[in-house]
Amino acid sequence: MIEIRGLQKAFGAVGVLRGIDLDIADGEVVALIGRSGCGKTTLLRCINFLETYEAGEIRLDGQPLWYRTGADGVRRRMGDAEARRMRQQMGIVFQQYNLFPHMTVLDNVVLGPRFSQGVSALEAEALGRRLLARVGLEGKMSAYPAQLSGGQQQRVAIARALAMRPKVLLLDEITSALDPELVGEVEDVIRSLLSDRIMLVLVTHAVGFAREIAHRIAYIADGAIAELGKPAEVLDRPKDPGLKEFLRRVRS
Amino acid sequence: MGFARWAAIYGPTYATGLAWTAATALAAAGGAIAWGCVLLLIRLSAGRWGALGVDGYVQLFRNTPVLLPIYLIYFAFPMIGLPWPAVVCGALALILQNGAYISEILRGSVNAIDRVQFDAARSLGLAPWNTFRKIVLPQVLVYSIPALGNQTVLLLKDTSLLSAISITELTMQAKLLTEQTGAAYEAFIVVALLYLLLVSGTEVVFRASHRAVRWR
Ligand SMILES: Nc1ncnc2c1ncn2[C@@H]1O[C@H](COP(=O)(O)OP(=O)(O)OP(=O)(O)O)[C@@H](O)[C@H]1O
Ligand SMILES: [Mg+2]
Repeated sequence: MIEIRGLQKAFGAVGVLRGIDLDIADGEVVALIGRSGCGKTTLLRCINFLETYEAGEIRLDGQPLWYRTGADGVRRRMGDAEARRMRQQMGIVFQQYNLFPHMTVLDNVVLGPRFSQGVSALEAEALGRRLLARVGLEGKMSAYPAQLSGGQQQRVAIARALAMRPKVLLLDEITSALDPELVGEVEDVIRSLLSDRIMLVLVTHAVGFAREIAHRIAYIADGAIAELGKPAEVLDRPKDPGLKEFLRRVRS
Repeated sequence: MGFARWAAIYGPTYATGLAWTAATALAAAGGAIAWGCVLLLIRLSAGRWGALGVDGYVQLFRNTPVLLPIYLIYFAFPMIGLPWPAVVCGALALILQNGAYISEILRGSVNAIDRVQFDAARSLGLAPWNTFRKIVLPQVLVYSIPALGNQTVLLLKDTSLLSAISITELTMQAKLLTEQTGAAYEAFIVVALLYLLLVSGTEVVFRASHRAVRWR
């Protein structure tokens, strides 16, 4: 499980996250919604420590992540090597496709296990093939990213993240850069992850999809979680006036 | 004089020159590209002082004629107990200077890598060394192929300076033949054509390797 307490993040003088509290249980799917610029991407990047943050704690299965407070009360970043080890327990897929263009699809998937986790070449390749088959790309193993559609690239990116055997997968609007007819194939892959009971945190503007797969939805506004609950509560009986307005807009 | 007779008399001299020029250029180009990669790695990974050191190095070699390190290495190294063969000294000087230029070429290509790739590499827990060798370097080298081709042509032509330290490369051979035969122009024209051949060959190789990249 993940526990986030009092997470604060500013870019310069601008506070983006002003105290995020969120627990995610094992196997839980949490969708993050909120208007553009409210800090959804920043929150995911902080969870994965692609961004530093000024205050707050994140725990994964009880282990404190990214910062340690010493006996002297001073908060310090954890060492790079330890941070790399911790990061391997999480996967992230971004809105823009960011496969490595000079590597085949299979090499993209195999890279992390091979060189971060020290898995043998043979084993990593077997894992890569299995995962690519799972996202429906067994025929594209030796293709290069530029030869794939956006939807196919995002499926590879999911396979690449899964190859690390993460406890949690962070998905940042991974269908919003896709042509509409390609959204379905990527959503299907996300649906298929539900049976793994992996933790999923997904940022999405597709409220319908969030309702379908999320156990809980968090609405972020003014740098905090303004409303949190089951999809039916948050989407059908919103209390926060900002959320009501937001839902009116995304539905129209 | 028929061509067969001409070739029998002068052929070996030109062939020796051609072989020395081609061999030193090849070795120096390989060495310079490798050294350029090392300088890039230092610049990217050794913090502010590493970058400053590489900057100083690049400035030093960019602003001095290559004949200077050639002489310096050739004449000074024996004094410190390193009596290396002239060709090694010459190639080393070419590597040191061209490596400086090449590290700058490669640095320019780093900017062509989409920044999100570095996020992806970090999210996979890749260590800096693996990120450099698996992600950065392969792309940077490919993006740099045209510029590396130009630099290699410059290096190839600079091997003529090695005649100054008695290496019997093409330019040296032309000078020797001119002195022996008194025919002032013939040898230099032949050698010019041989350089043209080598330069065209180099360009063909670089263009073909650029085309051979399948992922772009
Ligand atoms: N690297 C950065 N430097 C400065 N400001 C940033 C940076 N990244 C994000 N911001 C700012 O932080 C705020 C939150 O950005 P973020 O990308 O997290 O929003 P978001 O909720 O993901 O928006 P969207 O729905 O458009 O993706 C924005 O105001 C943005 O301009
Ligand atoms: Mg975003």
